[in-house]
Amino acid sequence: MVSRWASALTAIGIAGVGGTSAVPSIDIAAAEASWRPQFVLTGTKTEPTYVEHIRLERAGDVFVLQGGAPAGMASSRESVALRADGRLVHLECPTGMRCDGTETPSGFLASAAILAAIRDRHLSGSFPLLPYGDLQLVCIPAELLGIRDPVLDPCIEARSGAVIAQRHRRSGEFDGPSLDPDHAIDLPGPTHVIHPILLNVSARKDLHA
Amino acid sequence: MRKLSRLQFLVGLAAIGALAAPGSSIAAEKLKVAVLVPGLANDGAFNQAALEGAKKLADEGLITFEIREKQRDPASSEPVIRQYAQRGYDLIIGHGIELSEPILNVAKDFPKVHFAASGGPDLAGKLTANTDGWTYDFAHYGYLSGWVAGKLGVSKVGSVGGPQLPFILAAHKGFKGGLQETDPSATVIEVYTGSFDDVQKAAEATKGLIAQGVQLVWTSGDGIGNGVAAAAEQAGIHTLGVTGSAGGLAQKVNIVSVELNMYPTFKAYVDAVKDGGFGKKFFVSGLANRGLILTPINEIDKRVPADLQKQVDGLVGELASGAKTLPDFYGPAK
Repeated sequence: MVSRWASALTAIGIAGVGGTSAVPSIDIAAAEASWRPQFVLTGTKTEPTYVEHIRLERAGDVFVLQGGAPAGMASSRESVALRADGRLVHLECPTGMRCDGTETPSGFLASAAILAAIRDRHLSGSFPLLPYGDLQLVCIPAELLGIRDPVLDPCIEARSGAVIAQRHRRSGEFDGPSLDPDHAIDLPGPTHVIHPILLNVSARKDLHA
Repeated sequence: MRKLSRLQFLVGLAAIGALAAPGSSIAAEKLKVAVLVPGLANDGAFNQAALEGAKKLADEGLITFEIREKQRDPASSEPVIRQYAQRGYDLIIGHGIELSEPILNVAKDFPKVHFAASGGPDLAGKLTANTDGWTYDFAHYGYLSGWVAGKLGVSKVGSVGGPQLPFILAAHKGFKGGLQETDPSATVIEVYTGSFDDVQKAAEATKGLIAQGVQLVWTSGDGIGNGVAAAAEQAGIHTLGVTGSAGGLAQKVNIVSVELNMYPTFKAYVDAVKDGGFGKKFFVSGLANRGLILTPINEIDKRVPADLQKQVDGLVGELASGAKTLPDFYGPAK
């Protein structure tokens, strides 16, 4: 695992040496090869009148997002799976959401869309690394994920592939559904063991059915 | 949330339960106050509301205060709260639900120190002789937005929400109630995207509303507001409720939003400490006590009445005096 991540970091060096910019970059495919198939991301997003708690979990090719509310209140839960054939399917679909497979997730669950795009080679090449608090992010142009007329680009934490922030296309600033870039973000290290996710199989809805 | 709905009818800062002062009155002194916030105090949002409330009290010469940021984790915030209690602070305020349990835990061990916690309606039942508590009314958040929307003379208004969670549904019912009150002829087309973070869905939903002829869009969501603002800007219409900069679009499209004002609640805490009446009080920030207020009005829409703020002040006065009451926005959908 360490060597794979080192490979991705080498790509930073190559881009730096021959590059046209001093901004370090990373090879997204090499980075993906270094990602562990599990993470639990917890963080907060400060709203004008409350603090929203957000949890994003990856367990293999299943991504579960929970949040949308202050701590202790009923929250929203949505999950998607990346199938072996490369398609994204909704496992849990919040009330009111259209989960018919016609839209690529553009929020935190863009983590799954990015993984899918890398695997099917729609997404490749080097992307700049951007500082976000103590973390390094890679922002992916949303068009590469199949999103038309995007407002924001999803930005993944480079070592995990977890979408942590969004960058506005107009201002170039982190905006919208972005976790507060301070100590609230918890991305467990390699020794982290996650709890198994209980999936409601009967609730599965094929995005492409 | 049902329990909260009963509280919304209370006028001003409501007191629940028996009164019991943890210590003697200290009327003449400046109180030494610690304010703990979960995030950064310059966030322009929830955390900053606490800072500004405390600053105003300090400017009035009522308190000196220290603010501690990034106190989200109860495991680390509880020792910090305990230190303030040991150092002789008069009042320790935990601003945010994350700080509720640590505040209540430490308060048990320092009966002569005053503590203030934040939480949902269930916090009211946990308060003790040396703890007060606070929450705010989500329905009022929506009501004021709808009330303003009805002042703009728009016949068809769009409403974009994220997930259909109880507090969001209450805010939307409040919006419709406010609009109905100030412009009974206006209609609302309401859409929920189901997502609290998918901006594209919000943009598409807004485009759909615009295609149906809405002339103004309100959004209850913060993150998804970026999508609402982008679609509104493309169509050349205005919004209510978009917060933050939205990539610079908020300044172009958003007329006004509703924000938190912690000063009245913090002032009530301080007054209660000074007059010996602190303890077991649960405050509900809403319109009547100016716990929820309008942001400065963005002068981009000629339909906004010149005296809008004055009209809002009139509404607040009626609610505060009891001359006007608001319906229950937490009940089943009509």
